[in-house]
Amino acid sequence: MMSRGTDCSEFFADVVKNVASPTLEIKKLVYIYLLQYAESEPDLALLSINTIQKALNDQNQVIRALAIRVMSGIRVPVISQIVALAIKKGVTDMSAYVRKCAALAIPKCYKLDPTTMPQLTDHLSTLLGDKSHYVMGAAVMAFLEICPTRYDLIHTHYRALVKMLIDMDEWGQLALLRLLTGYARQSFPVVKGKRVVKKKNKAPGSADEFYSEDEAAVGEASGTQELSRDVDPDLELLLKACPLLLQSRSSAVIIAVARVYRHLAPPEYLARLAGPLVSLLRASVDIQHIALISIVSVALENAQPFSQFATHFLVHHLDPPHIWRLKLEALTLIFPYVNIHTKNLILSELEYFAQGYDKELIKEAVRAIGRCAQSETRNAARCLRVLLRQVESSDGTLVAESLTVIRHIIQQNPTAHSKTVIRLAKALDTATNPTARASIIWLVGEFSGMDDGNNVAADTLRILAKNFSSESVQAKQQIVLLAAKVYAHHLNRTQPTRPPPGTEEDGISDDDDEAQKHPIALLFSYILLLARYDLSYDLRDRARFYKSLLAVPSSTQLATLLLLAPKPTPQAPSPSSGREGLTLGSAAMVIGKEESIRGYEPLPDWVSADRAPSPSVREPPVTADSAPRSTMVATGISSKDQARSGGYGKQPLGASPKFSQLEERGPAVGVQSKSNGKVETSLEDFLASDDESEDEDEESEEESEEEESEEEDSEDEDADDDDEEDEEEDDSADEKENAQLLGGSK
Amino acid sequence: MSAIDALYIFDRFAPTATIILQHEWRSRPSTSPASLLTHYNALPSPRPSLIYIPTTSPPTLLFNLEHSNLLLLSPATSEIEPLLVLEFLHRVVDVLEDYLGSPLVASKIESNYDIVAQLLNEMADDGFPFITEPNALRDVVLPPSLIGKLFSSVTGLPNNTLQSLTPSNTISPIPWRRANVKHTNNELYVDVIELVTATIAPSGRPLSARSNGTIAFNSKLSGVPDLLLTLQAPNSHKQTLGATPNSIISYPVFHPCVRLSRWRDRPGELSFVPPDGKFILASYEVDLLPKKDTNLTLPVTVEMKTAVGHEGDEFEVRVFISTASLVSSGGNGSGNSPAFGSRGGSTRSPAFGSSSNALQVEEVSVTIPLPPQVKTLVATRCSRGEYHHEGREVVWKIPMTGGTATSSTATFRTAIQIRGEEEAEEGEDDAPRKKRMAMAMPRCAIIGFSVKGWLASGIKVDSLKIVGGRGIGEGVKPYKGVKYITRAGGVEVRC
Repeated sequence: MMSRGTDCSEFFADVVKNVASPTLEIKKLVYIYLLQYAESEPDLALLSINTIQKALNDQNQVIRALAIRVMSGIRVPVISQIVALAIKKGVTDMSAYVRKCAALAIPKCYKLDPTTMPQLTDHLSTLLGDKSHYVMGAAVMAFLEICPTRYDLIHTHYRALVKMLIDMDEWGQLALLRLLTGYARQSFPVVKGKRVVKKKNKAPGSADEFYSEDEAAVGEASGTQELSRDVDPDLELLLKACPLLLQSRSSAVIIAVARVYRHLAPPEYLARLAGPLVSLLRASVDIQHIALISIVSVALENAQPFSQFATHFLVHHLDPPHIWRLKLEALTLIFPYVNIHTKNLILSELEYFAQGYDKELIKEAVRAIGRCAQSETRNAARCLRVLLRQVESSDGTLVAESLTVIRHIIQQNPTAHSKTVIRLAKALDTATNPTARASIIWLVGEFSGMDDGNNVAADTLRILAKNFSSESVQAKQQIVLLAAKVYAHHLNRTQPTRPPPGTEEDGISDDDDEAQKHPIALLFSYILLLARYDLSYDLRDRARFYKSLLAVPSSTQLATLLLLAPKPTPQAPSPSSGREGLTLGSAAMVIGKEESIRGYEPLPDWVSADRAPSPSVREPPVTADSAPRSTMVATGISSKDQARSGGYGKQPLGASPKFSQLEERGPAVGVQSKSNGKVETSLEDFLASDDESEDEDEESEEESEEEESEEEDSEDEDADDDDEEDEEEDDSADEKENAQLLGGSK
Repeated sequence: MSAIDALYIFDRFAPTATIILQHEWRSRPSTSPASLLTHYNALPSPRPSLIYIPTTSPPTLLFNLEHSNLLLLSPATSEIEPLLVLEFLHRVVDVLEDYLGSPLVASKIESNYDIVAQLLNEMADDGFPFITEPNALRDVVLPPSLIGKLFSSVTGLPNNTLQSLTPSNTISPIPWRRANVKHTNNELYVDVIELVTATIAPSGRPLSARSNGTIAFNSKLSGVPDLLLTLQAPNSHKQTLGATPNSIISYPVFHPCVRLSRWRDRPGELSFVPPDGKFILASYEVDLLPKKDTNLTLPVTVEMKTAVGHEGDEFEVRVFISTASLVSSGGNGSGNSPAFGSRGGSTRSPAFGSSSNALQVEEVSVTIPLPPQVKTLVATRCSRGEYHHEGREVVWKIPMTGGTATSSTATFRTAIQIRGEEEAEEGEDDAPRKKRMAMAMPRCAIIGFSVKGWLASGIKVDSLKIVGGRGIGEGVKPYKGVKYITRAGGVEVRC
């Protein structure tokens, strides 16, 4: 009944009586009931507390743990002190299971009564020093819940936490990775290395980005001394712990590692990330979706690593829309980085989809072609060829969409595409779709001013004038506009030859003379005449407007401004651009609206060097003030836990001697020594680095300043871009007025 | 900050979508499950797995997962890692299936509310995932049958006789393995299942072909055994072991029990202490086109011709089924010919209980999606099997008769009729009609098949040994069985 959602609180008293039941199963069910309804019946619930408290001392660890969970879960504020006591007891319990429950009880207790905070943080800090990875995961979750910014608690445990990362269960790994990402941003000043390394790697040849750790280390060592220390050793410790996590079966963990790499690591780490991320695409659709979002957002910044996975992004027939949209986007993002063969593959793939029968897919595919053309001007011609082939198709959607994209491409580089315009004008003979015709006519009109009138515009107009009456309204409007444009150009060319005072002579009567003089003027007046008797009043209005505008030579200037204004180059940004600023793997990124998601906090900025805590705080055995307990923990880890960090967690809680022997005999031996070595080097590095740290700090300070200013710059640029887009919108509004053309282009 | 608020399970096919389970881990959510469902249904299908509902107060992130006929909804009101919730939902489904049996249907949940409630309570504590390993859950929550016994005994029998049955007193030291496992028959089953995904261009050239492999393991071993599974890649029998598979198996992911360092040092070797019962040991990906000019050999191929016939309104699909290459290698069982040596699914060390030798293609089907313009299919004939036209696709199933023939063909031919064709038909010249016909032609066909005993990637299990552990007697030789299955999980042939 309870599970069905019925309110069962009337049975409260009867149920609670059973709390002392000796059978574990019944006890559990009673507890579940208690958790659900205690809030509404606080007095009766208190009756059960006594029994539960007794259970805290039970011999069985399961019952003890259960008692803690239930007690903390009962939302009756009166008992907060009792809960705090129970937690205190649980924290020092023998059983790791109980300690884990105690850790999870901490946030619950905090919610009951925030005044218990100081006690709770004490407990938490003890738990963070725990040497069981069971407990650690829960402790980290609790930490994130109650005091996610108290990084001072983490310092001493940092290295232990990183080492334990691999042994935790996946949920613990997730929590810890989240914690460490924030921590690293706050604790490790960003240093020069980030940019230097990038350059270094680009230089030798970008094709082979798969630097193994060792190679990278060697490469850096061969550089100057400063270069080799560009990543804080502690941060490096974290980064090196992560690759193994990429083999986790939990997609969430893989994405979490991706976040660490994306937000913390120098770019060359991304290469290692690409494969596992792409491999998530073999999971179920929901996970695919989120993986793709992450891939796209990484690729927006750095698409290089994904270039070899082009075939993974081929759209499959069964993909739902939200998947293929992202796949197409990924394809276009990697497009500039792939070799010629793959480029052909991508283009033909897009072409294939452009000919499909799903209208949305067609649109998206054609736009994707457009983006491919934009990303690299060298390819524009090729993309254009593909698109021009589409223009002749009989499918209206496809033609309209490709023309919009063609227009974008042509506008980017008008001079290079005069031939294309001619070709398009030819296509007018075959194109039947009204939108397409209108679009072509507009384009021809845009280019009517090139080469001093030696172009197809006037000729096109002549041909169009023949069949004016059978055109659609849309096309007619464009024809009128084209006529006006051509005529305006004509006027502009002819006018300068006349003396300025001569303008007075040009009356309305003069118009006729001129019309006789030149076929363009004739054409213009002919089309106006046709338009004047058209059915559409809009068209008649327009015709009248152009006529009066161009009739008086004094307003030619105005007409030129109005009709022949240069159109700004449109940019079609990748659909999900703007997402890359959000934290990878967050819900906010999936939704794409940052402001509205409650609780979303962007990652803290890198801490500046002068405010970063000294590395020595992460030195548990060395720092004088650290309690003997933490020393014990550290040594415990280095002596006992290597088997785990290599051999993946076989240490039983009540270690049976036989089994641990087995472990040692087993394959983990080689690994033991390895991880041991790692620990030692990192310690030595630390001791050595103390001397140099001051110099470095200064440098990195400068560096961070530089970066800041650069960031500002880039922000400005962004703002500019926005402006441009706005302008484009304004402009398109204008154009709509003129042409009603751009309806589909936005 | 990142907690799962609640879980609601709906029955999708009930006449009025009724909630069959609700479980809240934290305090009562502000939005009722019914209104969440309304929001969910308001969106057109297919829906993304994460839906943002700004109209509720506070705004809700709604995670959803559809599993057979159940709909799982989980709302969250603050930022949370989406994959955390989704993985958790998947895990809940897995665990429930494990306890209640597959397929998971509403009635099963309804008759076992007590267990489901306990499970959900253990799986997350205050919204944080707590115990999600099926084995660990078995330690704390008893499966249905045992509970039934227990309840009957509570009423009648004295309690202590059953106390031994409750395993709850112990928490296993290994998170993924149950404590005190005992089996009378020790058995090990390895199923390697590969799902072939391929896209084949109109020219017949494969654009992409991948095989997604999953190693499913079923372990019924007593005590705490330590196993070593060695995989062998094709053509690697001449090379030294261990050096090869990594080149072909890309981006594996492993169950947490696998020692990653061992894999890193010696790729191809999986060393682990298995959980009890069924689990997914690893999954991997194999690119079937490592080089540009590699040929793709699939047992089923399709040739498609559109706009044929004198009216240009017909299309034809030919299916070629050939196990010849596969059988010849598998049937010999020795792997003599170097080209196909490791293809043979049934070649394995004698220690394994081998499955049947004959390779047989089963469940061959061709799905042809049709454009929306298509009204009906007329004059359809197929040489074998039966077809089924529903909605916007035709599914053509080809039965496989006996295992004697190694290759066969089948043809499917049909004419299409376009919507709104009748009135326009008279007095129209041929060209535009042909054009419209061409546009209404199907654009691809999707092949489905399954082959037992053959893996597209050619990977095979070289050996499976018990290298250590305790609780298993010295002389005990467990039965080991290996099974290979390849399925087509979307082989798309374009035209």
